[in-house]
Amino acid sequence: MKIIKIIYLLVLPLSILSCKRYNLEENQGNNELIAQATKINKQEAQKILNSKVNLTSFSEPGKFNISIPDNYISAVTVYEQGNIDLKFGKIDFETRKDVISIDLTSALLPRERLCSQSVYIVQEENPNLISIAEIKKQIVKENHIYFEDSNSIIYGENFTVIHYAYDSNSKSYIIYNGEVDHFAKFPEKENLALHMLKNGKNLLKKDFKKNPFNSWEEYVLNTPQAEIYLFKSIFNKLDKEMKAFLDINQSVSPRSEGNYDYVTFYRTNDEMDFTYLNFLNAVKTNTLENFTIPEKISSDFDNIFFSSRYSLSNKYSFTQIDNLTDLKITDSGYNNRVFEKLICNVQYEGKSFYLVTNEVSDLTRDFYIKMFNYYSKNKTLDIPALKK
Amino acid sequence: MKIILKTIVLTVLLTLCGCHSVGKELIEVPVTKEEITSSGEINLKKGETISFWTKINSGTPYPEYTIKYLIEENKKTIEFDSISRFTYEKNHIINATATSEDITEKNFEEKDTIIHRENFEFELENKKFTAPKDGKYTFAFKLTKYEPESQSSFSSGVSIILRK
Repeated sequence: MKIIKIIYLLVLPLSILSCKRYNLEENQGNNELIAQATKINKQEAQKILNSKVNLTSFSEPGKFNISIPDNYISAVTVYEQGNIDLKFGKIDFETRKDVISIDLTSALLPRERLCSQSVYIVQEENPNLISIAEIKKQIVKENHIYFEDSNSIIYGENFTVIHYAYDSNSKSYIIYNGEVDHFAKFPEKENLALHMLKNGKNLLKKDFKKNPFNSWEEYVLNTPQAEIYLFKSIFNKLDKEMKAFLDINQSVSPRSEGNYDYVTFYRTNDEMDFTYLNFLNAVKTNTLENFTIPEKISSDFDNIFFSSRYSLSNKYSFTQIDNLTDLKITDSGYNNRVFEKLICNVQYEGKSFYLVTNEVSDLTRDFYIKMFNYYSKNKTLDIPALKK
Repeated sequence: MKIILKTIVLTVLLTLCGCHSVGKELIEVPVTKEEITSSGEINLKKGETISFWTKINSGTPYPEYTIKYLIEENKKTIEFDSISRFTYEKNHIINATATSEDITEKNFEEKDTIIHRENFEFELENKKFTAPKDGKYTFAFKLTKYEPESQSSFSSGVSIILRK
């Protein structure tokens, strides 16, 4: 009986202990998403507020004339009296006629909803109706304030950004109101909030000139980290595909957190590479009538490189920028509409891949070109100096 | 009293044996056709063994599947291969349940029809990996074949449980 008891007492702790010995490190990525610093450092803030941005004028004569980032999409709504319920200082939108609202969205990620950004324009003769002290009293309540200056404030769990200015030329208030999305998962929400504030502060800027971005590094240093993080999370998924998983003639289009795809990554064989180079050469030398796609690869080839719209009756033109081809297809079967694709070759340990995107417009082209070429050369979007 | 004690001892011994035979679960990684999924970093000492258990939730007891896997240590490829239903000589199955139910649904003519549904859930030991040296290992997976196709568009019904 005693022996049984002893065995029992020995065995029980052993059985518990034997199940506990393992060592697993959690994926650290998720742990970084907890709200961070409680106060934004003024110097750090200034760095972001002064970071490089190319602006463009957006105006409607007699109504507004503002400056917004040149890679932004805007949508204007005019609210009739009583249809918008907002209050800044002594300006109550509900009692105002024709409040103009301009929604701003980055064209790089138009559907992701990382944040919302609106500009309100209210006609008013009196330039002394708003102050940050009043806004604090009205809106902030018990919310935490991360940043404030004479006409801006960032507060609350969603990093709400308010900036206002009085435009004496048009005799109107320009009020910027933004908010980081509550559910979007990315680190450094205050970084995005400061980029949003920068947009607010640039609204009335008039003396700007275009200064092109020279490299992917420059884009990374001057773009909200949330946007870069999103592209990195997609490209990180390509890493293992390239190293091992992707077979010849297979493609993947990794999804973002918001479940959208931006890039297709395709692995080719020698015949596909050769045919593609032949095609580019035929376009260059204007001898497309002599170019044929081998039957065996025609379906995949047409799908990946031409979005299934290859036809001899179409017109083709391209520009080569390092490893990337900016291809334009004028589709005769589609009222001669021009379709543009960016196609970038990536070589990895003797294997050949192509990064392809159709997300090309005047607003996004240069960003993608720099991003694709950087990935093609470095097999990552990380910049060594910025790696933590 | 003796009987009770004996029963307790027997139960504990059985639990102990059970624990040792399948190892302790480290992580469950859902496996899909669309994307590679990964375990994150796992610290292993030289000689420690990880077993891959394929967990299946399917309408059939014998689904056909192929899962490609990549084992990396400090971002260096250690092993890239695939597993399927019969790649591992052992046929070690645990946590198996089978359920069936009859559901009444209206067909396109609005007539009630009885649909018989069966569901099989089990975990099959599929591979063992022994760490060649101390290090941080990651285990990445992608489902490349699964028949019959999963009913759900949200989940393939397949995951890998890593046990040590």
